[in-house]
Amino acid sequence: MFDGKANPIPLKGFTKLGFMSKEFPKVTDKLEYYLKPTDDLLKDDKYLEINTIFTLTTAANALPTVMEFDPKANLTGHHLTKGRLLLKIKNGPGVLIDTDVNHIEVVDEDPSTATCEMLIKDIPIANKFLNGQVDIYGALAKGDLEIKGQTWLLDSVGLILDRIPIYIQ
Amino acid sequence: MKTYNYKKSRELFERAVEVIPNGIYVHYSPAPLIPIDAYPFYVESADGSRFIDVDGNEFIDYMCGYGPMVAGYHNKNIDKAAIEQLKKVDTATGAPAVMVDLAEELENTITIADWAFFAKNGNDVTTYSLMVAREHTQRKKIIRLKGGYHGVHPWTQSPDHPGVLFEDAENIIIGIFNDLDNLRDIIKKNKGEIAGLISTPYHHPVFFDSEMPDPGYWQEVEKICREEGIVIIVDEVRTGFRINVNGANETFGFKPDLICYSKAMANGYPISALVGTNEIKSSASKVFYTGSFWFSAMPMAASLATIRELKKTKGVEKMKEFGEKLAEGLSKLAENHGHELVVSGHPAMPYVRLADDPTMKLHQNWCAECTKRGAYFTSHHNWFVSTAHTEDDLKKTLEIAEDAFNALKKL
Repeated sequence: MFDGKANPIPLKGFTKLGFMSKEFPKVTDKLEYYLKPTDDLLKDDKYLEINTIFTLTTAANALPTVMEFDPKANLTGHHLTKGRLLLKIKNGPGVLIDTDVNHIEVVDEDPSTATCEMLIKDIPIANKFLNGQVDIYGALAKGDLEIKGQTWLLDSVGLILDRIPIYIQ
Repeated sequence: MKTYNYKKSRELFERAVEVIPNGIYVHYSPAPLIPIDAYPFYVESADGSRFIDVDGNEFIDYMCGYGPMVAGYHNKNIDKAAIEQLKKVDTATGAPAVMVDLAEELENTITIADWAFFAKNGNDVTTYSLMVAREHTQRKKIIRLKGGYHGVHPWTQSPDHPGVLFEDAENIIIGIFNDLDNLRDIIKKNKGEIAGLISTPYHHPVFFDSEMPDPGYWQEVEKICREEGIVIIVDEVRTGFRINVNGANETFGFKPDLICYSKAMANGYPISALVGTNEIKSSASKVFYTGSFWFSAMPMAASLATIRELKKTKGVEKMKEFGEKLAEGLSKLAENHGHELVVSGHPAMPYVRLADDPTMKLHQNWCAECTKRGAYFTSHHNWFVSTAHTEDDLKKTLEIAEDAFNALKKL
């Protein structure tokens, strides 16, 4: 869809959905621009920041769908326990994810209610982390990533996050 | 109280991540040590109950190498036996004589053991035990219990983990410790198909409290398995020679068919063993299973000396007594500071947790504050004590814990 080769909405027969035929493709073009980085684009600090925030938000919101349809992620869903996970860039944006058995969703609540936290040192490290270019254990030991609380939640959510790239390559 | 820094550990780790996946992997990985800046990564030397890291910081070791150290680092009798054996032969063409001595010692020590088979790591023998059970029963399926750890081979992991296939778990059924109805239900649904049940003698998962068997639990498991022709395999890789030198099953009053040992059986020298009953010996003989270093004589000599040392010094009783004093002392201190400390599991392998904060953050901070003052505590895993832990260690540990509780107030 982001390549613009397919029309995501069946427009034939609809006459009052101008947004779908005009603005929507522009939105997808813009999303494609920010979600398909090149090495050159990532050298621009502003682009890097927007790409990182978009990727973090997209990945977090993809979790329920991936858990539902990917067989491995679906199994992980059976093992999830009740908790609230904060994935956050220090001094930057973050997402709060609620988990329970066979349940995962992004929520808009007070971040201080998180029972488990993963804090990422800065935007460049977050970008590498979200694009699978970070040795996670190494990053934890070096302080680039910081985890605390019910870290078994992170083990499970991490398994589901790991499945996302399979569907966007 | 002075706190430690770990400059050299960090420098080594920076080099390590370039050439080793994860820098340090899995159970020695720094990842679950939270907050990570409170922990050393690399050890320089060790003696008795203590180790010194590469930055020169000394720790009273409550992990004992995650279990192998049971009679003190550099135990004179054990090291002497190992070195004398090394001077004669370690790995050569042909099995070493000490292998027979060790098998006889195990046969004489462990109540159910009529024979012993040696390998290197715990997982070598847990996997072998499954193969033996399958050969013995000519059945496919194995019951293992949720949260139980039996190593890292694909059958021990959930198929949602990287590198593990759904096919790897095809004949593995997950049961629940202390749940007899669950066991009966599994057996009913898989009538005549279950080869073996593998379980630790008591439940000691990571992150959660340890759970002792309910009264009558193991006796009923034994009865059901005998009726159904299911081989009972006890994984004593973590508990072995810490709860009962004759087998933890003796403490809990039942007789398994196979028992897996490793960790503490040679005080840190690399060896594991599967022991079993005569009824199952011919099946064990049929399974093709070996490794290049499984006939290494030095760890066998060390194991022989370790088991004799533990029996001679009443090591198990000593560890239990120390563990009880440690739990009591820490619990009292916690109470004095307005906290609730929950200690579960066997005193020689206590799982300790500050229960005030269910997110674990308080407990993680306390363990970290203790560690950077010299008492090495992990927050996610049961601890281990050894026969080398002394009254001085206990006194020092309680001083450290007191200071750590005070430090928590400033965080």
